[in-house]
Amino acid sequence: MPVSIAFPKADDVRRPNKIKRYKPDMAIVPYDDFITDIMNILGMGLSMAGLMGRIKICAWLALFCSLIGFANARSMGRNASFDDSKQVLSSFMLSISALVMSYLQNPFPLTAMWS
Amino acid sequence: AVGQSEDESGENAGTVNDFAEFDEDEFMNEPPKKQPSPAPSSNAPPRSDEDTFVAKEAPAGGSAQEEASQDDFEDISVEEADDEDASVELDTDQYDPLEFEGFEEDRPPAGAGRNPPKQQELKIAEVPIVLGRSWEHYFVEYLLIGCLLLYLVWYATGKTTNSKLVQAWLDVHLDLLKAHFSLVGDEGTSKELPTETDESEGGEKALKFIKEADHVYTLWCSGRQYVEGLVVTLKLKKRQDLINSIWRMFRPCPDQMCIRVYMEKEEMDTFVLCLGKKAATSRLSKEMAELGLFCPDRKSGDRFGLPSSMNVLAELGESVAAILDQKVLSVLDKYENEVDYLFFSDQYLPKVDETQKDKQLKRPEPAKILQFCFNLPKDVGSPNDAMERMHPLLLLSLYLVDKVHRYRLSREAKLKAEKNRQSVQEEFLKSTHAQRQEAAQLRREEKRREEKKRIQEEEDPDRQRKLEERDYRKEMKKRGPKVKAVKVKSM
Repeated sequence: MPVSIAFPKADDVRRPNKIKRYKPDMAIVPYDDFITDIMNILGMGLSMAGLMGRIKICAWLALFCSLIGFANARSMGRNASFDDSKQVLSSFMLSISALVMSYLQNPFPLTAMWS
Repeated sequence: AVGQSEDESGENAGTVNDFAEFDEDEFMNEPPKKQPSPAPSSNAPPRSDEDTFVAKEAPAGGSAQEEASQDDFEDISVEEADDEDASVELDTDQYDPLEFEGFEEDRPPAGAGRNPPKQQELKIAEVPIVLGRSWEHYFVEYLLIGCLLLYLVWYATGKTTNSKLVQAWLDVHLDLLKAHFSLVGDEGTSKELPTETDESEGGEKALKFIKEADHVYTLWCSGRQYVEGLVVTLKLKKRQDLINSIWRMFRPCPDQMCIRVYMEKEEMDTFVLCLGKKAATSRLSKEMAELGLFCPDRKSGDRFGLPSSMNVLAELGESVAAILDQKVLSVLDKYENEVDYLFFSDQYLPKVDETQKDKQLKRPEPAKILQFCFNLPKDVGSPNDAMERMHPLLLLSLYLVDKVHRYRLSREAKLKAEKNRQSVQEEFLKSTHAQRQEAAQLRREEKRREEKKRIQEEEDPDRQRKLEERDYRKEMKKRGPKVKAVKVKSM
């Protein structure tokens, strides 16, 4: 039940002549969202390990990191003050290539590595 | 002998599958070993090549397999490669018979006792792949792929629930916003304005939130009296991120609706005020520099008739009483757990990161903003009900805009406010004094270099000489008096 705050209908409060266009820096964007950056860097490190050292677990973790980075990515949209799409794309490519390479070079399942 | 060894290795292979988890080396020591000493892996490859050649005729393939599995896995692929090569060699009969002329005679005597060994029909032992690369061994991979798919499904559902919430907010609040603002929803990128006709044809283009992230949506409205613009930011839970959702089960955080109003310069008087839940105000005082500068002391809310869970940070005592009239207090009482904080400031400066900080010579022009943050109720069923509760809070914000416009500081409050701002300005100038010094120095040198360059470029010699003289005289004049003063003191 909305509280009765009535606005005088008589004088229209709108001012079409005083319109100001939107600029990205006006928004209250939460700056504390570093998860994407951390995950991307972590993903790159792990995929390097997976690619060079042929450690399959690192390649899998790298894929998960880039996926988490993708989920938290900020503004893939056009009018973007922060654009993470390039970073996310590159970390995906790197982690998938690490995974494929580590399986091509050493096609044994993960269990073999542990035993 | 070859057949027998096959069963043995076959049986080994069977056990191998069951004991795949056991340590590889451990398995190696079990079977009765013909050659007890495990060859050191370093020189294993060359010896095993020669062995396999010999092993092919006499003993079973098992021993070759044992040596092979002693090396690490890479060698196994090497081992198999040798087998293929070996068999390829034997098939081709073109090797030169002369080469083997003396070979038959000097066979070892033991062989001569029995009838000469007939050419054995060669049979390659079917070597089982030790580690089992068939599909059922990849169960860990299937588990991981399952987690990936689960994450993706969670992402999709989370994203849609968030966009449904945003759509519900828009459905509830659209007509109120259109009554108050002539421009609702602006991407800022399109050259022409989303005109009225766009909206009437149901042009969804304009009336859309800007998607900052999967859980953050912003909407810009402009074109209202006293207000340059109003930004509504819906900061929802990260439903699209599985990890965060799990984390939020232990430390819950509400969906938030933040409204920031950019007031016009002459519409708001000079005061800074913040009231809200204790946690929210402390977080905000860290985030907003002017709260620390202008309102150091923190008062509890009950004094002003606010619910007890709230406290107040005010620069001027009278501004609290002026803003919190009966209507506002009733709304705050009714929606106590929804209201996070209400923040009024005429000295708002966007946060400047350290790199540009020292380049700022003059203090930038502060903006006048009102920022209100509300939490969406958690236990409400459908998105529409949750947004229904937000409607009066948006009304409250617009009401506060008019209230701030009508509020004028009393004389002594005005003086106090001016004094505060003056001291902050001086402090800023003091802190950037060094930088301004350097900048002035740079400018002077720049000017002198310009001067010199102009003189050199001068074509006709006499004007050039005149310019040089003038420059020299100016130099001397500048340096001249200092020298005189020193002389007088020394006498």
